[in-house]
Amino acid sequence: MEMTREQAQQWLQEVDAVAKELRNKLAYGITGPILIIWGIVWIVCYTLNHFAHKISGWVWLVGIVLGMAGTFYLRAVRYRITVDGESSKRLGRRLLWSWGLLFAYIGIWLAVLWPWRGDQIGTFLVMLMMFAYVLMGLWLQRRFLLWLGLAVTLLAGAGYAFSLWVTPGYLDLWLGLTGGTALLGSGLYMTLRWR
Amino acid sequence: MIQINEVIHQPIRLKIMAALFAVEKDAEVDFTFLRDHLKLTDGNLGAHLEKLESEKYLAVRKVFVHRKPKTFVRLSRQGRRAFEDYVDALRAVIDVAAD
Repeated sequence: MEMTREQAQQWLQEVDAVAKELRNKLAYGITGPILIIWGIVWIVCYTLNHFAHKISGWVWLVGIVLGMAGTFYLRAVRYRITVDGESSKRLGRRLLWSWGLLFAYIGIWLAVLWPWRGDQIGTFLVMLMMFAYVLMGLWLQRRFLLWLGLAVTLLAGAGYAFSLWVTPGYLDLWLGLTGGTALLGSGLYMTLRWR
Repeated sequence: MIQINEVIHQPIRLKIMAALFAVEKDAEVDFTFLRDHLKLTDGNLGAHLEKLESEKYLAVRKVFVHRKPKTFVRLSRQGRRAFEDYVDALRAVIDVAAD
């Protein structure tokens, strides 16, 4: 079969394009809905923190349980049905254990650090979660998660500084709106782009 | 003369092989997901899968998941090697033409 250099290049480009599109779809197709879930959890819980401070502990408990259940469902059921392989199952198990351990450690740290102020701990938790996103972005080579983590960390830091020196009393709303909206918006973008 | 695998050298079959090659080695891909990703019809994808299966380039597994029939497709070892050889052949064409 006769083939020119240009034709060979075109076919190779086609191979690369299909592979890249599929890998992105698999990676972000599942990440998008997970970010949507956590974006909603953040917005609802931080907003209720501001308006109904007395029940904020319960609100967060319910929010985290629902968020983890949704994440587990998407990761364990939906993704596995699309692509079924031992490596992806292993990766899923490792991620699940990592997040589970992170939540357990958070519980221990909160006990050790007591007493703390609500605004301190709210900002600390946002930054800690975003640190986990940054690490996931680096290890799983998902640049979007890396930048999202860094951006929300900056927003949380700015909000904390403002609440200390400029406008106290609105940090929960700020964290809910900026952090939650960033997660929700990114999740929607990924879901629509890679569906 | 560089040999190009003519079974793979067809636009849709190339996309199928490239997509299956892109996932991890042992992974099976859902038929519906593959169909939607490559923007094909059931019949079109099915026909090309049959051709590739007849060459033993891929394995097809039909199962029930949550009481619904599902078809999973996976590149065989032979298919993976054939695809690697195909890509090497394309690179060789580029290299030879450049010399």
